[in-house]
Formats: sequence, C-alpha cells, structure tokens
Amino acid sequence: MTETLSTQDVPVQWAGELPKVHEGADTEFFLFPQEVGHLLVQEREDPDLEAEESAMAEPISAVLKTIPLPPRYVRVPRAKRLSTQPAGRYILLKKYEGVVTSRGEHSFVARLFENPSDYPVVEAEFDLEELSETDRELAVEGATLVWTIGYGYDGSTRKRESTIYLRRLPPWSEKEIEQGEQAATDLTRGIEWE
Amino acid sequence: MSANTRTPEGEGLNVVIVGSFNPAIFHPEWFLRQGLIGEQDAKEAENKVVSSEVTDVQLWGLKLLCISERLSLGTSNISQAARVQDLLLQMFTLLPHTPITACGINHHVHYHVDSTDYWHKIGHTLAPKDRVWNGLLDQPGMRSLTIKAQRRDAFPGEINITVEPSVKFPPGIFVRSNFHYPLPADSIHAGAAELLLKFLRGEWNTACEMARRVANTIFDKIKPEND
Repeated sequence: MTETLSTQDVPVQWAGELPKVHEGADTEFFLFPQEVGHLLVQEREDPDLEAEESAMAEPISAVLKTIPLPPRYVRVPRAKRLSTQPAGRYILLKKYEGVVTSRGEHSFVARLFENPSDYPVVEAEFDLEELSETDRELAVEGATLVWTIGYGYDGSTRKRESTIYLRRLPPWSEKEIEQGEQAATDLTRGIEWE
Repeated sequence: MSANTRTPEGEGLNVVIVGSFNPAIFHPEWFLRQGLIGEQDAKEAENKVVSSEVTDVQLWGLKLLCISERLSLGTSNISQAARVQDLLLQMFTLLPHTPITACGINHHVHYHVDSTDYWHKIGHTLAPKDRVWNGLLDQPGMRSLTIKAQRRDAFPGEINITVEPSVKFPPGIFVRSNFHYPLPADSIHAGAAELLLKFLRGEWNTACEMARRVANTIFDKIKPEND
C-alpha cells in the first residue's frame, strides 16, 4: 500500500445544488467522498431588512437600478465546514448490554451479557450515582442499559472510562406487541415435548 | 499478534438516510420537547447551524447533519452506538410520514499494524500488482479497494466494504462497511419510515460489527512474515 498526501481541494458545494453531488441514492457518505467539505448556505434573511427592501422595491427596480446598492444589501453566503464525525477518539475494550432487574434507594441491579447467547449471564449492582442525573429516573425494572469500558482521549492523555447509560427506545406499538405474541405462540407450538 | 487480541485504534459509526427532510426541525429544543433528551443534554448540545437549508448539531457527542435530501447521525465514540440507534428510532417514530428512499449503516475501524512490511503485504495480497500494475507503474500501491456484495435477507440491498491505508494511524488499515438498503419505490409515501425502523432494528448488530469482522478476517488470513 502507499501512503500519499492528497492534493485534492476540500470540496465546496452550494446547499441548493446538492442533488448533483450524489446522483443515486448512495448512503456511504453523507455528502462528500472524503467526509469533509464546505457547504455554502445563504445568509439567513433579516425580516427587518426584508420589509425595508420590499418597501423600496419599486424605486430600486424602476429608478435606481444602476446605482450601486449600499453594502447592507449585499448577502454573502456562509461557508460551513461539514464533517460527519465529531472530533475525538475512543477505544472500546468491553461492552455489555443488560436489563435492570431491581432498583433500591441508592442502587440498582442489572443482568448483563456481552452477546445475547451468553449463559449464564452476569449480575451486577451499581450505585445510582454512576448514572447521569437524567438517566437516574429511567433506571426502573425492565429498563435496558449499556455499560462500556474503554480508553478515552483528552488531547494526548489517555484515560480509562466506564460509561453506563440507559437506552431510550420508543415504546412498542400495538402491532409489534401482537407480532411478538404471535411469534411466542408459534414458538411454543413448535416445541415437541418428549 | 493474533486477530482475536487486536483492538482498533479508532472506531466509528454513521447512519445516512436519503429522503426528503426539513432540517430546521432538528433543533435540540425539538428533541427536548419530544422527550428524547433531558434538559441538561439540551443545554450541553452544540448548535453549529440550524436553518431551513442545513442543520449541524451535536447531541450526547453524536453528530447530526441534515440537508433537505439527506440526514446523517454519527459518532466517533463507538460506545455511543446504541444511542445512535435509539435516537433514530425515536425520531422516525415521531415523524412517520417522512418520505425516505434509502438508508445506509456505515461502520468503520482503524487498526495499527506492527510493521510497514506487513502493511505492504496486506495491500499486495488484497490488490496484487504482479499481473498488471508492476509493468505499467513504478512502485504501485493500493490506495483504496471496494468490494460490493448483495444482501438477500429481509432487507435486500448491498454491502460495500472499503479497505484503505489508515491516514490516522500509519502504518495501519482503515476498513469501512456500508449496509445499503434502498427502500421499495412504492413505500416512499406509504410506510417508508416503518420499513426504516425495521431495518434499523433488524440489521443493526450485524452492520455495527461488519468492519471489525472484515479486519479480523484480513489479519487472520494474511499473517506477518515471521508468524
């Protein structure tokens, strides 16, 4: 393999001309093949300026057409540098998913697994303080959670991190509950007892 | 070093959805009002721009980009992958009539390799130079290789795998997988969001491991000279 420095410019596109960038329904990149580019966006219109312009529309177009407009009428597009990835680096060492099985005043117990097929599963007790303030109220019996251990980076400093967060999945719809019940019934019927 | 003990130096995830969107909706305040994030999360959100043409905000360390034809939600911290899934499922449960034409789950990993000899060996094995390139060019090297395959499960589409030299951790390799799902044309105005939710639930785990699986297979099948 060769390692080359790219001499290609960072791409620039007008927001209104984006369909030309991806003719098909490509989903590999958000917008630019190198994941970074500049998007030109029209300056947000000032309602006061709009009203003023509208009131002056007749004299400007009919009489003052050849007179240069004062600078306040010039709109410069803003160039927004876009990147699909936030800055930062993280190395994942371990990841557990699990379900809260009970909650006390200061702690909660969760059943955890690395893979859905793991048996027996691990059970662990966590202090509620391990969770963010907004997640604490979500830690009720049956709630699903993720626990990860890894290395985070703060500049060139590497730090070991343990992160626990509660999942915020949308509630099951009536249709999904019906389908789940049907699947459970089919599974039960399919068991051949000896 | 065996494949099973290798740990990526960097790993990220990015979901791209193609359709018709209103970027101005996706303000942190909207997420707060809909109960998708907490008050503190909304306060800490980073708003680069929220407008009718483009939205670029950061919530929970996840990057949300939206223009009228595309929406992307991604992270360079793979421990947050479940949050990407949760947020997308919540968003499109709340916006069930959004016309959507395609969705791609993109996972990428960077691995450092032990020596430049081994790095060259990986490149030469994946893209042999003997037959064509050595006769034409001086020191040809692999810059990018993409393999495309069909997916014939419940969500027919493509898997695109790209292998490149890692520009972040040289000498190293970068592997990106793209689980591309073009939604059926007749679903755009009838049930597209529902199909998207099923795809995000059904293919999530496989799609979020694919780049690691490919990299591990490369390290397993192509050994350093001294192994």
